Amino acid sequence: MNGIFPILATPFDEKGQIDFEDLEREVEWMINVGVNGIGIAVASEIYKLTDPERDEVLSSVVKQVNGRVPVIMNTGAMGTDVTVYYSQRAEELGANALMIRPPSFIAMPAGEVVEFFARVGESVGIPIFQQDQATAQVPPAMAIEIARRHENLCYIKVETAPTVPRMAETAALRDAATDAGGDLILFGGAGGTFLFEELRRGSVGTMPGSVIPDVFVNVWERWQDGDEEGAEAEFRRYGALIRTLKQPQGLDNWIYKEILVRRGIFKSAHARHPAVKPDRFQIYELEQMLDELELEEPEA
Amino acid sequence: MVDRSMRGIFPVLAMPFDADGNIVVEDLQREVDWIAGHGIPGVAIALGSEVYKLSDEERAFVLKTVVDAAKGRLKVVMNTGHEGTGVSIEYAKSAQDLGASALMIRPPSFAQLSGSEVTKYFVAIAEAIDIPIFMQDVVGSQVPPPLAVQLAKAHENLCYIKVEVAPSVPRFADLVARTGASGLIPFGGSGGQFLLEEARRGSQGSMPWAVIPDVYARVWDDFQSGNEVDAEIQYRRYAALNRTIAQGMGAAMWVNDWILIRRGVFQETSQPRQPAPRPDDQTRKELDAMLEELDLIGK
Repeated sequence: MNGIFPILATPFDEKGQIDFEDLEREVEWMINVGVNGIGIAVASEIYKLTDPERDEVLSSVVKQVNGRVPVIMNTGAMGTDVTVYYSQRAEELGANALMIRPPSFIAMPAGEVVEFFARVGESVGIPIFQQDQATAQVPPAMAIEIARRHENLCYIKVETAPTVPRMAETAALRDAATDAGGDLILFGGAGGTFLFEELRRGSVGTMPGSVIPDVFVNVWERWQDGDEEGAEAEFRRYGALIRTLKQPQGLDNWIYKEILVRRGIFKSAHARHPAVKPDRFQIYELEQMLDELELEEPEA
Repeated sequence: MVDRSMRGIFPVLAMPFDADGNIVVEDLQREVDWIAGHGIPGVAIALGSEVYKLSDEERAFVLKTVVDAAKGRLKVVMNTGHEGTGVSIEYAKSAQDLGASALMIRPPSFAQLSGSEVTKYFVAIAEAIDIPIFMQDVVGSQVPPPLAVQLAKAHENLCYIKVEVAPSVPRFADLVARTGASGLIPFGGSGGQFLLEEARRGSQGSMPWAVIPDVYARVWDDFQSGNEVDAEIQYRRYAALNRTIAQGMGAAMWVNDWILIRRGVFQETSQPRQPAPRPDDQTRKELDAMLEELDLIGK
């Protein structure tokens, strides 16, 4: 797997119920613009879904995708057994890969985290993205150690800031490894903010939000064709928008969906509670940015 | 009467060091002069100036150098926060004596304190001096909006706040809605990432980095004179650069030096004091490409 793997926003109606019609439209749009894969993860507000809802969302996405691109499901939980349960369930429902961050509610020593990943890795037959985030870190040396424990543990998404030197360090350790640790495949995340800086340092893809998949695919393809300078100059135009998408505490979820409403994908921008809601100025500011960027109308 | 007139862009000075870690006085003077030349109202000597890596003697020397180089053209804000109230008061008095126009102080953070202890800390410092204080609301040591308003009411010197806890945009809105008659004057920081969004929510100024003071001043003035849309379109062009600076304090120190070298303000060998993780050489190439696109080389 490599390339652009947007994380879906989960569409909710005003009452907070999942809107499966919008979810299907979102998936179809992703595939139409040429994404390389699709993720259901933290940015999908997965931690605000009940267990039956998790299953319904994954099943709906798998059905709509219909084998055209890989689907990644985030199955991390605070306990190893629950994580194994979520992971096996996701595999049964058709996920092509999993994404898992270390338990973080009670911070664990490195040995326990490695063992956590090893047990989950053994329990399934699909690959796992280790997720390295500020509040649940997989430092470079630990990532290599985890990769050695099972062949399924062969991807990592590096999101601990600053990601640029972290990606470089993880890649260097990987390249120095002469065993299974050397098979680790690196992805970026963190909203795709440092897409090109990360690609240059060993990443082979990224998992941005789902609001400008067309832009990400376009610059990724130009990069693949050797047009580094053009791809980067084009991508910089979206710097202010990407910054706006990175406001934490639920503002990000609302803002993703305000954009998806304006792009004709979603009917409602509702984010599940708790989530800080943008004020009317923030909507105005967003519209100004979108106006300037002249994003293309999604094809029906 | 305490000085309540400060508004607008107050860049946080980058500190020029040579390869041995010595302060390069001429570069510091040139930086101050360059900023004053852009018609900017003030500067700050703060965390972005690596003030926490200076000896007490150096702190005094730097402040004196900046006040002298400003020649009355710029207000000078000095960060005098310390983990202990006593030392903080000493720093504050010394900065006042050396000509600081205002101080900037964050709550002690090594041992977390309750709101009433934070209040005692700030009031004790405020009572010891005659210049205003910017209370600093940062992730590791927060001054939440209700506490900020309470502090502003507790002493007239506690009349400014720099809001930097993310997401800063709703935090501004919340703070301004509570300010009422307390007279608190809010500034933004966080490298100026949300400069204009904050202005729209009542921010009266900002303390961004010192590397593009001309840009900040231009868009700030444009915005204040009613050209909001133009100001924002202009400012958005710098988002990728701002993002590159905002990769943590260590990287920011290097990137800022590299920009000031390219703009002709710092000498070629300028570098931050240790510890400061140095971004790789590739980062410098990426930075140069951005500076070239933005037409900032040699200016």
